[in-house]
Amino acid sequence: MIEVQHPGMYSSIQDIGRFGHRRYGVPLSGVMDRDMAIAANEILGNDPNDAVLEFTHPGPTLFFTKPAIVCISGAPAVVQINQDELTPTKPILVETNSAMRFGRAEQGLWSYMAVKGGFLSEVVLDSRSYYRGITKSDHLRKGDILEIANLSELSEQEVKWGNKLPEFKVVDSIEVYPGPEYAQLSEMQKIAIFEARYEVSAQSNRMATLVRSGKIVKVPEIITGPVQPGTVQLTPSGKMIILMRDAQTTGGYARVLQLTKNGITNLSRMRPGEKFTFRLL
Amino acid sequence: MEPRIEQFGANGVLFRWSDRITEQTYREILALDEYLKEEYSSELIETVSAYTSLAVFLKEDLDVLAFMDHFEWRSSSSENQASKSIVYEIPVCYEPQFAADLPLVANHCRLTENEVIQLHTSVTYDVRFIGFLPGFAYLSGLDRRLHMPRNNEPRKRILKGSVGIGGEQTGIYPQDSPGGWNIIGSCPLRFFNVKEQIPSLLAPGDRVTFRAISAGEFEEIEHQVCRGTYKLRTV
Repeated sequence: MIEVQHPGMYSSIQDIGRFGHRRYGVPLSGVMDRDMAIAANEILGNDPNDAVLEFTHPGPTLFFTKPAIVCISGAPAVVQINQDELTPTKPILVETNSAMRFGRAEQGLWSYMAVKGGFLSEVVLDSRSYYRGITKSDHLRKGDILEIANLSELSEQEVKWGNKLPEFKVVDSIEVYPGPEYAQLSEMQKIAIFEARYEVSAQSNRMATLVRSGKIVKVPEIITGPVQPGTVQLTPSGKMIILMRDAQTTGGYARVLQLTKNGITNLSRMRPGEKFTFRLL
Repeated sequence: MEPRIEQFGANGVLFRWSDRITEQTYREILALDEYLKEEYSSELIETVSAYTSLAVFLKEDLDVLAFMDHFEWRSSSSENQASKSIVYEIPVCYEPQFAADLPLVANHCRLTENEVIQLHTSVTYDVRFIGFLPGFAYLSGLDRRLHMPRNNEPRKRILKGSVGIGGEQTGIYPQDSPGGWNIIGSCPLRFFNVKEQIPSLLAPGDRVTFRAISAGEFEEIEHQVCRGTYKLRTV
């Protein structure tokens, strides 16, 4: 077991997402930075969909009541295990009665800790991803107990001790496809959208990344239609809302662009205050 | 009418009808959804329908353009689903403690409160689709005389079960949520339950009607729902 001694800024358990229930209005959820979460699972010999701990900074403080093999990926946070401070790039064996404290990261927004065998939180509607109203809580709280498997029962699976995680890069050019309402924009509006630099707002969360830019493009509302993570919405007052993993399933704002898979990953790495541009695929 | 078919993101396809909310489009969306489930289930993860469009999310290793290329469907009115004959009865208590905005709605619509309740309970509504919140049904069929704009100042918290009117729509909040609809009653049923095989009480294509109940009946039904003994009634 892992005990949460301090939950950190915002931490939750996530897998790849809750597929198959969107027709009933259930958001997908799942890890913000899929590439980094999957990389950590793969190094441990886990299934890519195994649940991981996702956190932003400063991260949580955890206490291990049994040994575990963990892999930490994503935004490179400082980790203190008992008295040792490290920035791990490979799997680590954590011994029984170890305290692990995550500090700040020099870049990026979301970090991950995968454990050998995955986190064994409750499965609700085919997924372990935390989401308000679906799972008991939407984030970790002080005193929570996180169940993990016993290492001894997992020994046959291969941990790739020597492998290094892929490098964590922040890219400021976000790839997009045209969205369903793209064709309704004027040429001037299209030019404005691709010339603008966007600054990530501090109000962003797992549901949406809100951005500010010097160029305001106002687009009328639409008849409510399907949306998905990566949908770039423009409101009648010119606000831009980029939907992320916890997005609703339908929405009434114009869907002007749609992020590619890489686009979603790269946007998930940007911190409030950082700037980016769109690049049409 | 044939829907247009467009790519929608890395593994999505969007079927779009004209931008008018019609009964015909609704029937065609239900028919296409059914057809996709029968003919293409091996290629798709799930579908999400709305008023005038249907999104299809393909398995991630599939090529969206190839799917669009080989996809075939002819909408024919004969194949379109006829309305289901079953109508679910949704009990709603319109008494003052549950109906903060009923006087406001009556005043706006120049009706008595009883007339508002009468009009709200006299119609059979179609469940067009589920969205906004898990289990939130977009219903069509609200009597014109009850159309009323949303509140300018949305409330921070509308209680689970609240029945509201917003613009030309009526609906039930399946969970506590911020919201701007005018609240005219409350329903004791549970519209979303993660412990059920199908978590949403209602699905696209269902038909419902409201029945006015007393506060006493509300409490009784609430207990039955809690114990899991309540059976959804049909009319």
